[in-house]
Amino acid sequence: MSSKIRAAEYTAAVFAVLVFLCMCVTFLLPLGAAAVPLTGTGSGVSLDYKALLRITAYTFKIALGSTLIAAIVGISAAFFTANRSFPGRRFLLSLSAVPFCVPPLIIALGFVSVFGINGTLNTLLMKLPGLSGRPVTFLYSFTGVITAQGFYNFPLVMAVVSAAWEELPTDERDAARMLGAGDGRIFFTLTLRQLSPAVAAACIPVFLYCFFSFMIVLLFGTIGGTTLEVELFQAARTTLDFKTASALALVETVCAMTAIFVYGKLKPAYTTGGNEAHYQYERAKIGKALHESKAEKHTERIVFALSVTAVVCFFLLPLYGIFAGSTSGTDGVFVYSNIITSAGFGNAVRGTLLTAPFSAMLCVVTAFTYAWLLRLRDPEGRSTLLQTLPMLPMAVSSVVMGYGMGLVFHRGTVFLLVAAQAALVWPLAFRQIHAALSAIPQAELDSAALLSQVPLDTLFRVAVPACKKSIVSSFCFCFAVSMGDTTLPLVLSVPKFDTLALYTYRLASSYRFAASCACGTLLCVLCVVLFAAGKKNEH
Amino acid sequence: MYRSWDSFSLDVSLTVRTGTMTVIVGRSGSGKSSVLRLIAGLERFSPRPDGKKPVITLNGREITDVPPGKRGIGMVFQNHSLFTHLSVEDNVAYGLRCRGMSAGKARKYATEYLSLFGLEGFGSRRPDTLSGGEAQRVSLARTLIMKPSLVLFDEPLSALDAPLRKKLSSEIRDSQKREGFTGIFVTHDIAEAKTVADRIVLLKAGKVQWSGSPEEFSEDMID
Amino acid sequence: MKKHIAIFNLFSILCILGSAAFVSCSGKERVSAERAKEVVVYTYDSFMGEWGPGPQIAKDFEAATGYKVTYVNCGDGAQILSKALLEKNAPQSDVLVGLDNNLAGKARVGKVLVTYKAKDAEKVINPVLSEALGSDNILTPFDYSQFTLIYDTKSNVPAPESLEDLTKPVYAKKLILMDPRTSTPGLGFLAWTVAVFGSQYTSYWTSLKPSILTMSPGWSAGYGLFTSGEAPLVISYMTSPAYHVYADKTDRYKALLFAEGHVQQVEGAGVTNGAPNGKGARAFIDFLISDTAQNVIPLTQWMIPASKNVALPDCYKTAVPENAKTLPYNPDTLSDAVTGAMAILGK
Repeated sequence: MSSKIRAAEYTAAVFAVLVFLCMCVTFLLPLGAAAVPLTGTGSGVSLDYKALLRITAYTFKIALGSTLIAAIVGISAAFFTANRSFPGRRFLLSLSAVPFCVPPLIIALGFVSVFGINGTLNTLLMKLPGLSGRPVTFLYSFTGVITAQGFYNFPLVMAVVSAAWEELPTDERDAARMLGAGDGRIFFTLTLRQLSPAVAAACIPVFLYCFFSFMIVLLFGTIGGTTLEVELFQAARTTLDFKTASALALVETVCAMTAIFVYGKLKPAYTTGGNEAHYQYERAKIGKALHESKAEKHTERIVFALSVTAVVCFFLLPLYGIFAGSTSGTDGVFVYSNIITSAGFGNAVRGTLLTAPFSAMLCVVTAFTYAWLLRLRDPEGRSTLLQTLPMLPMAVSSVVMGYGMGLVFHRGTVFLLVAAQAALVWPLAFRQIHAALSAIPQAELDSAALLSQVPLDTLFRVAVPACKKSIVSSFCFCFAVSMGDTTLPLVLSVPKFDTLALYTYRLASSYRFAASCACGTLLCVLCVVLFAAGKKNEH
Repeated sequence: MYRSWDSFSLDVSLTVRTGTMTVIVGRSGSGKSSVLRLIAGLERFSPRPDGKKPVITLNGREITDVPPGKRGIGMVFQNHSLFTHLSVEDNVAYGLRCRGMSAGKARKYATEYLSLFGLEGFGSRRPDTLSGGEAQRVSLARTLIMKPSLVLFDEPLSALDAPLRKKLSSEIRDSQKREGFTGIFVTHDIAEAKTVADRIVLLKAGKVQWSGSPEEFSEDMID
Repeated sequence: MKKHIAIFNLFSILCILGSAAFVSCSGKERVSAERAKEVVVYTYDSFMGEWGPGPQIAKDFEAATGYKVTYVNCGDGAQILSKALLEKNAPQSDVLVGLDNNLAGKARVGKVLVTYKAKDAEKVINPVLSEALGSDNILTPFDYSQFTLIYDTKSNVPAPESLEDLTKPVYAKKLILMDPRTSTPGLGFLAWTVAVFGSQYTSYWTSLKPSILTMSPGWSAGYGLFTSGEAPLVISYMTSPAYHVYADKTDRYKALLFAEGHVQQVEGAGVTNGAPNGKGARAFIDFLISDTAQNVIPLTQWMIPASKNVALPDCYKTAVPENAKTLPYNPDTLSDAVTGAMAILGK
């Protein structure tokens, strides 16, 4: 091993640890600052406990409902994307991070354009004879909220679970098959358990996003409905009652972390990968897999048809609705050329491309460092605390973090923005990388350790390559989240700095809805291109 | 049989006597495991160039198109492939549960069966707490409890150390004589082959190069 | 393992303590020569965006005075105040642009602004507007608009003529409002109901509930739904239709004029207390109410300029109803009203 490579590895390792520590500090400082008002004198609209309980219950209900839908659709879709070949498979996977980078306002407009009172569906249904009034109003209900949020988030579940599914060891499956288990039994008694780290890696962030979301909840939910985040928003940003805000933030964070902790305790324990082989099965076409009985083949075709219908209706059509909205203005399709040539657009694109890649890189480095340390110290995932703790940055509301950051960092720089974004988003990368690292058989790491002169060799020569897919995938997701962030750039008030997401919002605040949709579409496209590039790089 | 996968083809015609153990030996890459996986039904045949269909028959019944779990074939894998989230007992009972037996009955039956392999009291343990030899015995028990007509062994002992290999290969031989199942055993270890085999088949580059009794076989034939 | 957890806990505690210390001590910055030539303006997103008045005003101001303008995007009006409050001990801004009549009280209590009577303010600005921001001159009005309902003339429901009309069954699910907790026009509508119904606003909201399609978190989402055709009525500014006449060349959307009157939002700019460049700040505010700057406002800000000297463009003359009666209200009572209204809606 050349000394140059050795030196590079050492530097990289030291850098990674420093980054991790920086991220911790960047997160904990504002968190501490945000907690300070708890001790102060508040003017306070204080909430009574009954109301607080009711609001918390509603928040949980929405988050759980949305996560359930995302999980069901995501896992079904993952089955097909991982194990079957069909036209549009790659395209579907490359849409995975789109919901993260497109502002919720635009997503909402997309849903409205399809399922709204004046949406495409109703317009079509009205043409049918015998239907008076507007038949479809489900969008403005609890069902509408969890449907919109569930489908808005399912691609994350699909992408993460699909990647894990492709890597599952096949030996246990083969053994089960030889013992007479059909595909259904194999799925429920074996595969689901093997996938549980990946399902957690996806569902926990989805739950947290839905827990803190309020655009779609307020827009489509019950009139007067409220979530913890809305109350917190009001306290922190409207009435400027920081004591109540801090108290609500505490309640929110405790609830979120409890939910994650409980899930961590309940989910089936997994062990690190054994010495199983992974036999690369050829990807069969739908309903044509080798081992299925006729009934299973029929079931598969039906489930596929249902999944496709659901994804097309509740995910692709709203995205198309955004595009349609963009061309519905007076400029028609020229809205795109108008935007691209406008002065601020270039600055916005520059800002996005300046921050997102670095933020994503920091996320991945931080996540990998912690995941590796965790793998070394707790390979079997017995300590729920250590597994759950890294989710803390995501379990804290961005309103709170924004407030805390504002206290600590009065004026920001691009560098600070990148660090702040990474400090809050790295848990998203952590769960995926952690799932991948856990799958490496301990025997493999042990033998590598024995063969290596230095422990770092195991890290760089075995662990990193084994997680390459997760690293690329989580990089893409973190990139998308950073692209879609509108809170931190404003909180940190970086001078002369703009992002595409902020630009999109600004258009919407200035009556320019078609242009806003166009910008949202451009964000989508950027995201898809990025994901496609990422997937290409994997192979 | 003929199978093409990544430009690799097998041209094998194999007949195995009931109640005997046939051992397939050969270098890595000779196609030994592929033969087994095709017999098990875990792999699909590609069409032959001459259009003829490959055929597998077991006890007079053609099983070429029968799903793996319904062929009456059991398989012991190289890495025991125990279900890591289930206890030893539940592992052994898995196949019985697939057949529709109730959980309680299956567990009881499994516990009794485990004692045949010297694994009394192992029922509630988890696979990751077992030694290599113990795990492979459990794997064997899990397979044999289903009373398969044919048992395939895909290098089941290669992950174990030499003394254990010797011990277990005798044990496999003994169970085979006791239970009377037909076996096809794949290995690259000649001593092991000679211990368990009634007949040895040498496979090279996907073709049967030699077949005969263990006594007639010598290591330098592999080349 | 326990050792690692203990170390991490210690580290976290140290960080939290460190941050508390960090927050509590901050010194005053020395004002450099460069800084003395710069005017830092805290404002909200759409003001400083490329279609907002900010860029043109900054350009004209720089040309007229030689000061350099740096806009800092704070997001929305409440955030401007929030930031100013957080920086009280070491202000970074010179001017706060965009605090409205609802925030004026909090700004006053928080002592983040100093009084300044802008040059020619008395001559060009309607005293009603100055009063709305509190007559102590901590804020100088630069634009205003009344709140009203915007009506889609293509819909098949008749235009309502009063707030009471909205409770009629024909308007079931036909009204888009904004959440008063998170949006200025939302709060504006609530203030309107309080101004019209007084303490009876609670029963009004009870009757109104069936008419509400949604309470969107912000103006953009609600207005976006409106232009998508989800409902024929939305709460917005009286000046909104002017945009559609000008940019979309359509008079489809009409601002309704109610005989009972409307409440209005007045936006103001103020000099930060302890501003590093107080001189520049004052010059900026003077410029903001000058004819040059005020003439930029109608077609960029889509609000009515505070200065009487500005001739409104044609689109305003056709689309914005004149002589709307302005209803007074007490902004300090609003937070209770928010709680009251949300409690009714939440039942």
